[in-house]
Amino acid sequence: MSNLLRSQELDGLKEIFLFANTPSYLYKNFRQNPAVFGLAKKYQTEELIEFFEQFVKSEKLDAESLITSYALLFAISLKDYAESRRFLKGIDRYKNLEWIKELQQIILANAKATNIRSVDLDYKRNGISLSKPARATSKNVTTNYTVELAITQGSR
Amino acid sequence: MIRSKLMLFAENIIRDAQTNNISAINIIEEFSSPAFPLFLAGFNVLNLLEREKDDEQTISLLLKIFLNEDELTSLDIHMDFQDKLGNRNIVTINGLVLPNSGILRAVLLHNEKEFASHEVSVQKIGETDKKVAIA
Repeated sequence: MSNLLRSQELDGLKEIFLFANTPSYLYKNFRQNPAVFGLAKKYQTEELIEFFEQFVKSEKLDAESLITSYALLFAISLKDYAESRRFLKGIDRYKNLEWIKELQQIILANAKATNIRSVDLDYKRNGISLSKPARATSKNVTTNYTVELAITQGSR
Repeated sequence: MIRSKLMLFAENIIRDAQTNNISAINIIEEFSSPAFPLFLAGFNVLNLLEREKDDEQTISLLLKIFLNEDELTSLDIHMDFQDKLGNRNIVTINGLVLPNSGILRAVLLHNEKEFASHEVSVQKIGETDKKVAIA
């Protein structure tokens, strides 16, 4: 867990932290940092929350742990709000993090509910049949399905 | 009262992870083709909903897509506002066959009543002897 961020990534985040004179500066610049984005991409929301709590609850919160805690907090804020909402609403209890109350307000104010769904083409309903190619020419060829329709070019 | 602020069709709908903003790329105003049936490879339906503080947190909707009077597809949508006053709903339609020209209409229904709708025209232009078209 101590290797969540590489030393170069930590240095970049330390710089932001030292320059930060407002919570909104910290919010904006941490969230734009590739290291924070990488954490959000690599780990599930539950894992990030677990890491964050382990760092924040540790008795000795040194500079590295402090920076990593903020990085984890902002990585969680990049995740789906439906997954992080419960956690984010309770982060003001971690009073050993500076500006935590203000950061909570900023994160919650910027979070937005989004529903994303997709619907696939109903082939049967549309009278389209799918067929596998008669033979593959190589082991590496992914099986492609072909739509048995004569095709001409249309436009939007 | 929960209401729809905006509904549109677009080729791509993007949610920026950093800013959480939604962008609609290539908004579709009409479909046109020289031949039918027209195969649409995919497009998106964006709907922005707004509620008041006293309204319910969740709402169940039904999205139906019609070409003229014919229903082409439908999808149940359960929307959770998650304590927020707004909700963005993005539905990706992965392929749709338009058998003929007319009006393509997306309708959101709540308790079988029309909640919001959006329509674009589907036009036949420059006829060819081909049997099917793809867009």
